[in-house]
Amino acid sequence: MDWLPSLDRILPGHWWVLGAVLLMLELAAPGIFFVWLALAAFTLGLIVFVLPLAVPLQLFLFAVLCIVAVFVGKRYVGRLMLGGQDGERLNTGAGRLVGRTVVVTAAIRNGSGRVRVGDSEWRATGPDTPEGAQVLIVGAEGTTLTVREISGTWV
Amino acid sequence: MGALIVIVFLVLLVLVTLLAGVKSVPQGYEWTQERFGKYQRSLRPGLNLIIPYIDRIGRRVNMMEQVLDVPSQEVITRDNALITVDGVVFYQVLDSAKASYEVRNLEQATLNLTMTNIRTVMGSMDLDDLLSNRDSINARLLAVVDEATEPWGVKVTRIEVKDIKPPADLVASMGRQMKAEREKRANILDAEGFRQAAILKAEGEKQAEILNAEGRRQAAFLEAEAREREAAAEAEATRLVSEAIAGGNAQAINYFIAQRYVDALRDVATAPNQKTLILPIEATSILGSLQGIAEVAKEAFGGRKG
Repeated sequence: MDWLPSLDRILPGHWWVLGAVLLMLELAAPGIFFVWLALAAFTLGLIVFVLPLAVPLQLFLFAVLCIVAVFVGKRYVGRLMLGGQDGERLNTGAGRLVGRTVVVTAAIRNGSGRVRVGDSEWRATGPDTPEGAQVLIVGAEGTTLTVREISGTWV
Repeated sequence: MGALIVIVFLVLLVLVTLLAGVKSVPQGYEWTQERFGKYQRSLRPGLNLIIPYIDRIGRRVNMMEQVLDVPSQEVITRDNALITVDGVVFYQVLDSAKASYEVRNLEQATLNLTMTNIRTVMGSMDLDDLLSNRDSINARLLAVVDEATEPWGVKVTRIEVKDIKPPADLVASMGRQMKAEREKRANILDAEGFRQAAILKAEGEKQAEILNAEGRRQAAFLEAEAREREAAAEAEATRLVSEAIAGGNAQAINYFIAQRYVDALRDVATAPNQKTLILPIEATSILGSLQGIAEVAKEAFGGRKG
């Protein structure tokens, strides 16, 4: 039974095994949480492998490494997500409509009217525009589109 | 040993804290973050860190377009037909904060709004319009519901009325009306056909009559012409005879007539019916005829004497 970790003797191998188990847990229950702990465990295993430390110190280091791993990881993941912009195309709400030219279906008066986008109508805000005019969507705020007149186009 | 226990608890604390602070939001959702219960910000999909103990996740809002089934409900139209209507609503949350905190139960609110508006719109229309103007119904519903849900950060993209079911007896009458309509058309076409046929027949008969009359007229003309011809020929013959008489002697004619007379008598005498013998009654006429003969003889012999 001397291969089991105890409160007065933890070997690098124990940390590595813990890391592996945590990684498997991450796969079983994805939540990007256990992966940081696994990272910390692997790193601690390396440290302990190089210079053997007392058990309390190891545990303390593990706690510190976990926090460090999360913040470093957050940074790293942030860069990862910047690399893959595909996710930004989805669920962007009304933002996806910016740049489209649409027709006013209810005249914009006092900064409020309606425009037809696809087969649906959206609230629009912008300069006063008569019905039937073509406008350009320049922005979106919640369910209201900000439109700009395209000069000289009357339908 | 005590220090060790403290350390172990510390590690546990760190783990729990991290568990509370690291939040990864799946794509298609936005989670709202509340600091001391007050809305702070919306967490976008991906890895997010929140401050444990003072921040917590409020609502997990689905940002995908969603479909709501509007259950069947009974609506009374303007012309008092009781119909059963159901439908679907497509909506999408565009503002997770508003959808979380401006309205208590978004789905139920949207659903009730749609149902009441279906009643409003359909109650103001006649049944026939209802069945044939679904597009305009959908458009009106969309305009109203979309406007109403706007404060909740929701965009209603589409409302469709699925099924409009009039009561069974009404459907039966509709069927009858349809059938009657068709039958009327068929009858009219039949009558039209008979009329056309009769007209054509009459036309044919008229034509035939006309042709007949034409034929008769032509024939009469030709007959008259023939009679005229005959008369002319007879007149000619008479003229020739009279000319011959004028040129010759009248007694020649008398001789001819007498000869015929005698021939006729002979014929009568030699007829197979022996019992009858027709003789001129008047002696004078016999005498006359004899005298004629005598005169003929006189002419003939006297001419030689004289």
